[in-house]
Amino acid sequence: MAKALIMIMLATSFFLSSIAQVTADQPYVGGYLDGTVVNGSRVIADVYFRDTDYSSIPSSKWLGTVISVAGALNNNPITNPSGVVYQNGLLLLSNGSVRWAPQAWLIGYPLCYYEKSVGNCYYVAYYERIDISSPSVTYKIFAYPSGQSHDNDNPAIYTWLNQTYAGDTTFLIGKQLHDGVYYKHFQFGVESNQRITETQWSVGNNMVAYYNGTAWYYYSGKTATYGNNAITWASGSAWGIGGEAYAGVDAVETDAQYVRWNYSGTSVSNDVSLWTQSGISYDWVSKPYQ
Amino acid sequence: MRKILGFTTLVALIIFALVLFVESSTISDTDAAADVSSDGGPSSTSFHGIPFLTSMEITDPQIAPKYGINGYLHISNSPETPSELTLGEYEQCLVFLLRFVSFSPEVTETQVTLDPSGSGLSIEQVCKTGTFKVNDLISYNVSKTITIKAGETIPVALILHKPPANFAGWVSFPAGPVGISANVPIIDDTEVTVYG
Repeated sequence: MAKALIMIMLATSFFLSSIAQVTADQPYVGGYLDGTVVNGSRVIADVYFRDTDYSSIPSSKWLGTVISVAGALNNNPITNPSGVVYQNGLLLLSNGSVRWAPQAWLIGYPLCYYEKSVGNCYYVAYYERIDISSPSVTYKIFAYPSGQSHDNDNPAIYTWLNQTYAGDTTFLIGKQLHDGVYYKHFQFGVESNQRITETQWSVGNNMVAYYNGTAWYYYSGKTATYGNNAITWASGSAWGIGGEAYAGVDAVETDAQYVRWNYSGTSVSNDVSLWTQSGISYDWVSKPYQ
Repeated sequence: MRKILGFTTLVALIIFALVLFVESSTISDTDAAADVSSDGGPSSTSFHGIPFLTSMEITDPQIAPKYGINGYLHISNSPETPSELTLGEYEQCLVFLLRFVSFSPEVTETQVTLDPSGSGLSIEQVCKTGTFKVNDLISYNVSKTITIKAGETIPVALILHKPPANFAGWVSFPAGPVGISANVPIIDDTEVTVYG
């Protein structure tokens, strides 16, 4: 009898602990630059969290804003994505701190990872940028803590130097059809480990652009919801950002190169137009673009 | 009594089976294979999701190994290193703690490279008269490459020099463990803001 009870207790505790440690769901919603596939050597987006009540975020959750871009080989934009996805992201935690987490992935496994605190949610702006210049990939954060630092264009610049993978020499930007699937090779959006429903948070993505060797440029923008957001292909499969749709998140404010994601209960649909403009990107600050 | 034992054993086995089902379902939620349709018509291509990892996942021994991560390097301020300091006339000494956490008994150590001019973190501060690189202000008191055993914490001191005088008008800049690289993920929890 005692052995049976011990067995039940062990099994129950194992069961309960497994539920608490279950792999996170990774809800995601984002946008992409909708245009003919081209090569790019850099991608960028300005992001901010300042409209969010961070204290309402549970300590077990994080609110992230991530840019993701597909790597490619030999400057062949149509047929040669390598399968590697390079990501630069910022996370807002429940204590208001903002952490930076650059990483790269291939076939569901991380290739590299780094994380560091870079400020708090009151910063006026953060620019996320990824550069590729084989054999290196450079992940950058330009942090503007105040209006004064922004007006004077005096950011702190964090750089993490890592390598390219799979022989990548360029990024893919735009959209292409491959084996019946549309691939959206450069995405920007919001992600969490679990849906944050405790507060009506807001995350802004602004000045979304890529560098074409001559200028920073942008296409029209559209939404990409999970399941419709394949970013690259590898090993016969399509690979997209996140793990499930971020239900309850809408694109509540948009303009050229700009979207504000907001958790309000309404879910934005896939391929909704965020902006129709395209062209050279002009910004108030210059340092993130040098 | 035998019936009670048999019943409780059966219940325990059922619970165990449910555990296995939940874990496999959860993993496959992220890696769910599904037919992906598109404007181009139906497709039989399977679709998989790429998660975004953070220190919450990297430091979790139940999650990290599922992504092939068997350990990480954690860097933090030593107790005597303040999060804010004012740079006086002389150089300052900062001490960071480097700790290697292993999730696998086979992974017993990691090699760490400390080179402010090499790979890893780089910090720059833009001020009115230009941009200075914090890496150029820092030197370490240890060998360029060190070995940290699993569970071991090693204090590393760095000397922080003042920015050159021609860089004026800076109010503050972040300092940190620049130029550190390893073959495991790095979680940098250091926080040092330097004021003039």
